[in-house]
Amino acid sequence: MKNKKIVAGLALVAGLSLPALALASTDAEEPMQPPGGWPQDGIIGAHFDRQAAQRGFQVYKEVCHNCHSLKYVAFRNLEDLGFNEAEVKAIAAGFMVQGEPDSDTGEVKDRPGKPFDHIPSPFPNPEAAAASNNGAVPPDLSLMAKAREGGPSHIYSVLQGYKTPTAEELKELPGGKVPEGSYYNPYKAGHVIAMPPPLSDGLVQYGDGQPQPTVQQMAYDVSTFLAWAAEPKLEQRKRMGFFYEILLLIVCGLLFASYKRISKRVLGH
Amino acid sequence: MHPSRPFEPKNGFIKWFDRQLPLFTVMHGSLVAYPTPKNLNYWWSFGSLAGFMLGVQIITGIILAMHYTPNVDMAFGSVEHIMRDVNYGWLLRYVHANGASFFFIVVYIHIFRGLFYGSYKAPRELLWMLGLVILILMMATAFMGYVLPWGQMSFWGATVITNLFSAIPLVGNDIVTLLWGGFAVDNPTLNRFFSLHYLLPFVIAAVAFLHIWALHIPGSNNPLGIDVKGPQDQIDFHPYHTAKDLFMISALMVIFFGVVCFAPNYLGHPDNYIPADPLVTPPHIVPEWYFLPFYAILRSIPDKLLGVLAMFSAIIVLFLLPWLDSHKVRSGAFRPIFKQFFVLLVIDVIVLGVVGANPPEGSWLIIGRLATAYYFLHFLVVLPVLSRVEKARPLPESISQAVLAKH
Repeated sequence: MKNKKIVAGLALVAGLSLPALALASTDAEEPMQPPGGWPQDGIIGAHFDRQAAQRGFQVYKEVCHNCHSLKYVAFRNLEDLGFNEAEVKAIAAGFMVQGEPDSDTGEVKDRPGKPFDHIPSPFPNPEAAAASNNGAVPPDLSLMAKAREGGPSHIYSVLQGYKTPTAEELKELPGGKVPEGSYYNPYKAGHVIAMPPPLSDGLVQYGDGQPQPTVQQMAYDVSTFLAWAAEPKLEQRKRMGFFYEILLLIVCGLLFASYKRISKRVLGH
Repeated sequence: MHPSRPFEPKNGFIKWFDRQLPLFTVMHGSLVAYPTPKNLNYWWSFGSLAGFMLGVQIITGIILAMHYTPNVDMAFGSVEHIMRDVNYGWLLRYVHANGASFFFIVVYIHIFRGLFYGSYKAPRELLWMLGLVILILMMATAFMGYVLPWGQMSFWGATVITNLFSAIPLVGNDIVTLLWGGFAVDNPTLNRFFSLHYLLPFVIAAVAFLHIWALHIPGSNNPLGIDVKGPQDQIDFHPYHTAKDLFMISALMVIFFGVVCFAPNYLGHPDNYIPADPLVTPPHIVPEWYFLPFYAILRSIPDKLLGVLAMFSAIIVLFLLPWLDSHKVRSGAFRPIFKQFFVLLVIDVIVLGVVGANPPEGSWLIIGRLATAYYFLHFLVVLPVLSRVEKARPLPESISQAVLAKH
């Protein structure tokens, strides 16, 4: 408890002095958009590319899920992406989740997942997650597409942004080098990322009739999936917005006409 | 302002009720037969719009509170529960979060309208000051509301802002401990902020009631800034203003609902979708946009205590405005020099907002200091001097005469 307070106190001092610090020249680079943009952007007909999101779920499950949780997404939510009930059941059953205490013995056992379960975390607790990842907990991905400037484009860019820094770029890093166990990625603030490059061409086997699993394709797919995971009501929101905006404009016009009429009657102009 | 005509109900129940408690008479006198100047322009509708936004915030807020959990381990998750599982929870939350912004937009326009047309001058000083009390309460409420989702900006915003009170000599640290309910921003802080965030809107409603009461004694100011001379200058609130305000509310809704449905996170900060972490400081701690001008004033002064004082003085000085600007002519429309300085003030406040959003270094720091200096110069020097030296353009004889001349 005492430690916690000291740490919080230090963090606080850091927080207060931070606004005075200079801006780093290693600000995140402007993220790339996929060619043709995101179908969920825009006002009319905004929708998630469901095929891409389904493939993206596969990438998440087979690659990201080794380290990253997705705790605000339940298996039942996957029906939004076009998986049917049986498929969702099968997907859920493919994950082991912590079961309920046995009513006789109180023993807690893992059991296959059910649609109402949330996607289980790859690690039992944050300490275990940190222990397996050089001391840093891999962030939960449920809201990643809203928690960074650029949203899905940020994820899309970071996944493709790994590269060997030039001498110029190295000079801008503190100490002039990429720290041990980290990687260079200009789309990340600070240009250094702890996550090893997660994707490589052909890492995931897509089903028949699907595009080639290139890094770019997988980055697009998993970014689409995470965009949906972060904002699952986006389509409903934009559809509703379009309908009610038209309605509101009509109401607004009628109210203006009625105001003008009343004005004419009581004021004479 | 006395009602333009007496209340004469025909309904037996209303007659009986009103004899014992003249509620209907009061409502009739202040919403129906309440006389207003004939020449009010659209800027005068923003008071009604502010009342409307307060209503939106209270209603959505009450429903959100039914689903929200004020606990450091569960707050963030309960907001996601609202966004994902509660029926139309995403709509409620986005309306409430953006509603705060729109409440401020509407209120800031309302305030600048008052500043331009001299609505703070006698006999409306108290009305003006009650409005400023509402502004301060709104700021406290909005600040605490932003803490509730317990994201990174919630936590660090709360840390930075509550720490400002430690600048107060002698009792500063005790005040901070009291605000926190401990020695750091933690669960007790979240609990008391939630409690106060639920309480203060009702205090705002009560002060808004006094604000309207104080308005209804002298009646509205008007774009000419001259007093009403008789019934020929006036028009009843209903149906003219009911129709006008309803139109303005619907126009506001078009914009507001557009932002809610198509850019609900535009006015927010992405970092607040990261759960609060006392061990990780975000690279830039920025408050919500409506605090940015004040934040810029705070940071333009290198000393913490003086910075805090300057920030609070930026509002305190507005309380003194009725006496700082003692020019006999109310409306800025008849004061050519005042008008130019008013435009400068508007630009100045916008510049302060931009400065507040940027790191306090290099040219931003210099611009911030100049803009801060002008803000105070405007109220403490420019207005008092203009009060003495500015020659106003001739005022019209009466409102009705000016209206007739125009149409």
